[in-house]
Amino acid sequence: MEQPLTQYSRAEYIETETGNKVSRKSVICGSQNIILSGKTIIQTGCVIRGDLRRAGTGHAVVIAIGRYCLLGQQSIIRPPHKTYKGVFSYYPMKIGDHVMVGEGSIVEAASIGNYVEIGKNCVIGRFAMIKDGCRIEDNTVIAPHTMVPSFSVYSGNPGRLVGELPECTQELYEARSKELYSKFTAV
Amino acid sequence: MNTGGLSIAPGAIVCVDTVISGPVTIGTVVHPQCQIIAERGPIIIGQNNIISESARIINRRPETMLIGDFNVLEARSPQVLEGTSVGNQCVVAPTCSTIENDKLADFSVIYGDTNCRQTQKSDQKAQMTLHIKHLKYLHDTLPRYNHVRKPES
Repeated sequence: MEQPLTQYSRAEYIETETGNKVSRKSVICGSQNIILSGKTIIQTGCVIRGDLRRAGTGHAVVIAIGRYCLLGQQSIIRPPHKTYKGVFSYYPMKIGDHVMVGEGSIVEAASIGNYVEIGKNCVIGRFAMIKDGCRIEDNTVIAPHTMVPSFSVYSGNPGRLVGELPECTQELYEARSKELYSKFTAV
Repeated sequence: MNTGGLSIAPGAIVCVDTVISGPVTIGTVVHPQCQIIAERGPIIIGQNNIISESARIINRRPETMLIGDFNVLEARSPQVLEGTSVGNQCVVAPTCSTIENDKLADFSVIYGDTNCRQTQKSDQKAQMTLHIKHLKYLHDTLPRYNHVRKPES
């Protein structure tokens, strides 16, 4: 699958030392609690809520994002919340490598594995766990606390298992996210 | 009633990064990136609601839009439209919206792709305690990481 060449004006994105490209028009709250491992693209209008941290004092990582991820336009990444033993708190979210989040999706998952594709306008419910090599199709709603097994395809509202992906998915998604990153260039 | 512009009640937390225009009265927690737009008539939002990111509340009618207390409007959800009024302790799930000229009864829940509705019957008390804890947490945390609009007395 050939990826299109995406060009942006140099003033629109900030490039960090580790190769992350973050749009100036994205909203990143509590940036001290967010870890980007590198070469991740955060597009315009994306909202990342690093401020909703675990109750209590001390340093806390709220959102950890791996390498070669793409967070599409207008997507919302916010950590999940629950009460545990009578204490209300938000809990950290972990996103693996080579993860694509489509435009307008809302992600409140507990963890997302490596090589995952989330389509456009999806809603990933609180504390959902998405394992490696999955595809969530456009407009899917994953119910809270859903466990999405490896190499599965989920679709619909509520999201159900509709198919499986081959084991070569890892290589495909890896190649695709690297190509996407290399073709996301400044003019 | 303040018809000139925005008025924020004491105890409310309204992040700076929000779009609020027209005569709006707020007594609640408003996350960043919300849009509360009163084009013609005023919007009055009660106490102890939680309005999450990218929620849109728009009033295009001259009549006042009323939103009650203890409601949860989740991310990108409520495109609460003109002529609608929302009761108390309602929950609107992400990406759902209300219809025009609607009255949401107390304890309503809107969910699903067709904006299905149900009334919470059991566990209203549990939902309430959760909501109060959530509010307390947001009152503690939001001002630490976000710029907050100053309430007017």
